[in-house]
Amino acid sequence: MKNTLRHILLAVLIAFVAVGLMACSSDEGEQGENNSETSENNQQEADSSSENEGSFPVTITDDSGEEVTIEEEPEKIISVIPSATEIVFGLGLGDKVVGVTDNDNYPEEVKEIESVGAFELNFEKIVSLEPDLVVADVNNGEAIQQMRDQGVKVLVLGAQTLEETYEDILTVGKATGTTTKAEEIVASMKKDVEEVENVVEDIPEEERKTVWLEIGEELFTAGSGTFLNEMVEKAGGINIMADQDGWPQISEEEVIEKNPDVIFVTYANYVENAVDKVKKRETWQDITAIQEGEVHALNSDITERTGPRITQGLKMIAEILYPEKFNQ
Amino acid sequence: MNGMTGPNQHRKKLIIWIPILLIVLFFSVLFSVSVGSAEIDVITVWLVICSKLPWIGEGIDPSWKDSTETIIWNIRMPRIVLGMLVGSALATAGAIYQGVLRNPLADPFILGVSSGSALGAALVFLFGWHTLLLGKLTLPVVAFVSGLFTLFIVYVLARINHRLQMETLILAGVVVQAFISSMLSLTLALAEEKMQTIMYWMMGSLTLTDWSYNGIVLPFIIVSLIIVTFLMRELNMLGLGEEAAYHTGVSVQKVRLVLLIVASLLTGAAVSVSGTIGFVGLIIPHMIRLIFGSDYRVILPLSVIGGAIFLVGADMIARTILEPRELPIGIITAFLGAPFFGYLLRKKKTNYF
Repeated sequence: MKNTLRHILLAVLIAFVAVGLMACSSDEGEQGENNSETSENNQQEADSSSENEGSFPVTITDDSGEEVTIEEEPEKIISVIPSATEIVFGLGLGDKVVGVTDNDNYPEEVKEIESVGAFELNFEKIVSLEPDLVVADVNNGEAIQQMRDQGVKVLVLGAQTLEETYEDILTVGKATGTTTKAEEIVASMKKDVEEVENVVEDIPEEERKTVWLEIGEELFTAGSGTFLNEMVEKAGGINIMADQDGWPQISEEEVIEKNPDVIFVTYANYVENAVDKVKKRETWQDITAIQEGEVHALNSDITERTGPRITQGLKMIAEILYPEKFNQ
Repeated sequence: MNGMTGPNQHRKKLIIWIPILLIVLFFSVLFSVSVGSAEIDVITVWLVICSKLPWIGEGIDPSWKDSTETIIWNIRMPRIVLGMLVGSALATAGAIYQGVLRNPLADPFILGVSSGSALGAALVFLFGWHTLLLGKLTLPVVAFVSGLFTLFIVYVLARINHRLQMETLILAGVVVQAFISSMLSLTLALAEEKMQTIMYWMMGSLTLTDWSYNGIVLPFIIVSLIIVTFLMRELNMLGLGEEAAYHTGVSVQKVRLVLLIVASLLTGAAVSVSGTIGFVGLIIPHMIRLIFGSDYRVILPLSVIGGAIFLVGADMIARTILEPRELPIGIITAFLGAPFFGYLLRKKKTNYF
């Protein structure tokens, strides 16, 4: 008798867990679809909004798929992601920012601003600062919904490409009544990109530099579909791991066999002597990049952070790859 | 004790099976060194290796690129050798722990050696001590020392009235591990960008090794194995229970302590150069026991070779199955080990431990 009861309880428990899991996974699926649709929406809306600068209320469908209506020009802004902080400051709204995270480091002023957490956000803090607008990223995940449940207005960004970075800047511009400034920034960024492309497009295929992107000492790299890969390709480089997706870990022998011309290390800001360590790897001494001293640290703040400085990062990469073409 | 049928039974088994397993190991190594994500044909691979051997090597003219030689001799070979050493060490340590603690769930990590090592390694990463003191050997040395220090704490906790109860020892191990886990979690929470490096180390891997790593673990493993060869009979007696062992003239407390220290040395040496590679130390001794019976004079020597074969094979799969990607080796060890173990368990149908 006792045993049957236990079995029934167990069955019920399993059923609950199973249903829960299914519900979760279907949620995610829908969200994913919404994302891709809305990023297109963003662009269209942003394009048509340039005439009515500073007119509120505005309604924006953000990258979380939510329609965000902003009633009036936000006076207190919290940014919970460094790329958004750079966008907000770039739009000249620095004095309206009342909260940032510990991960923020640019511009210099952010260090004076109150922190609302690091990777984990402090909701009490956020609510107590009474922001008119919180700018977040899709990577903030569940925190976004939690803030919304507290009645905080959240605008979610989620750029994965250069093109989407422009959209994000325009979206923030629209939400804060600074559309003109946003368009200026985007125009100047596009000019940077064009400059690089003009130089790079004349380089014949056989003179293009091959690049190994090292994003972790354990030989993790950035493959196709990543922002870094896009940057390297735009800068005229050939990522030797472009045939892999995402962030794979690669066999050491593969890197040696592919023999890259240039090595970029992205973790030099938190690993001491990162570049030297790569140069000194005994097994890597036959690689062209090592022999020619072409191992460089990339500051991921300007090469991966999807903010206004990203095109400077692009220029920097291109100049490292083809110094003779740029310093004429 | 179904394996102990005659006094010389174990010798016969060893005379037959050690050579067989050694041949299997030889071919696994040969096969493993011949495959990899770099496209190098098999003949070149063997020529490179032969050119490194004394006498034979002098007659071979290097007709290959320098990078080919680097890939074969300085990347694949040290990695395979490390796989053998770590596999042997973990399997032997697992067998000893299972015997001494008389617990089929015991594995090399049960007394907290690995979590101690992991915490040591995590702190090295967190504070960026990599190159302090000992250059690139800092990490393995710190991991090794902190692993053994953890064992010492467990031992002190478990030792009551100068006696060591096995149940108390396991409990102390669990408690110390829990405490260390919390400190490890704290380290991870504070590690920010370095979190990935620490997590990766904890998962265990044989990548990015070189000959020097083999050089540091080899002496520990050899010395430990030599000590173990003298204690295999006593390990059998411990299996009979404390009292029975005592009556056969075994100094139970002393033997246990020596065996635990040796097993922990083996574990510490393996963990310090490869992180915590799971499953090898649990599954290999069990497999050997299921196939060859429960005589430790058979289990230990065969675990040494079996562990080496298993880890070399698992690592080969980890680095080639999705090449040029690397997979964490722990995935492969569990994926291969668990079903095979299940099969053996069903086939045997006896209550064997």
